Amino acid sequence: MVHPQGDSPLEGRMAAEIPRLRAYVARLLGVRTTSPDAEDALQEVLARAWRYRASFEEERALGPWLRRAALRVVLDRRDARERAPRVAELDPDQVAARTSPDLPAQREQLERMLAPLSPIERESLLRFHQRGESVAEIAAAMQLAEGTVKSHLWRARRRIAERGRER
Amino acid sequence: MSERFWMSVQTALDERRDPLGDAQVREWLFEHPEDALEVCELRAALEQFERADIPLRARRRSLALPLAAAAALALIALGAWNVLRPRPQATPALTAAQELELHPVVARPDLGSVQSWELVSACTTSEGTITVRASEGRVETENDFAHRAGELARAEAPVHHEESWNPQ
Repeated sequence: MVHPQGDSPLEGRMAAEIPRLRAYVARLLGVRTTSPDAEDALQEVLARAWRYRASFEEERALGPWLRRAALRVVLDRRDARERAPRVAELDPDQVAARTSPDLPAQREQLERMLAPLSPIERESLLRFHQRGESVAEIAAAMQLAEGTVKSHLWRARRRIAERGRER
Repeated sequence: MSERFWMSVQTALDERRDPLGDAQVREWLFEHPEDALEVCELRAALEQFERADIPLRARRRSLALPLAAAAALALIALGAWNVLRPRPQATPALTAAQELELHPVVARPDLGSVQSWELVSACTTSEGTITVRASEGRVETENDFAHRAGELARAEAPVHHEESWNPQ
């Protein structure tokens, strides 16, 4: 594995990238940098990067190369979850988290995410993603054209994504 | 960020698919790994919305708190104005030194008690000068008429003076 006082030049460069890489992996996973999930994924990324180090061109920036490796690890994990039988996902903690998300702190966090949206964008987004209504149903309920609902939805999602980028 | 990339993300979400499972989205992300953060965070936020009980419309904030705050501020401002407002100039209290400067008190000289006294009065006439000297128990007059006349005239008369002298 990679140690801060690595022998090879690549090892040393990789060690220097670890803090940024950890933060990137944690954000991709939506967890804290100190969480075991982030640490586990980081170790997998470093192992993979080391395994494929021959494909790295020394004169290129290491950061993007490592981030690409990290993205691949996260997507592989996601794909593995998708393929896994649903029951495997239902450990008691996850069930509890899914059925009791309504803690005041979480609600507050969600309200902050929704704050930059206009009332019509908020309603479109929540009807679609929270209530599971279709665009046609939302259009009927809000007395809007389907195209209008769609553009409100798109704008709402972009605003939330931009908020994520600003963090 | 490419609009085409975002269109792929939005279309996947409209179709209730995970954008990270979309081939076009992935292709873009491997070229631009930084953009994956936005997609992941959007995805996570939308998943949270699915599980949360959030009202469709933002709750209106109660007016009670802002009104109470405004009332408290008004009271504080009123109190401050009452303390700090300019007042008509009151006659300032004078210090003892200022009072003395404005109204000097002339100290009465201490005369003490009289030990001896003498009054001298001189009167010049066409004939000459008469000098009268009075002192305790004695009055003496003198003139220079005699100088003119070639003789000295001197008169001495005993004076009985019983009056007591009280300088107070």
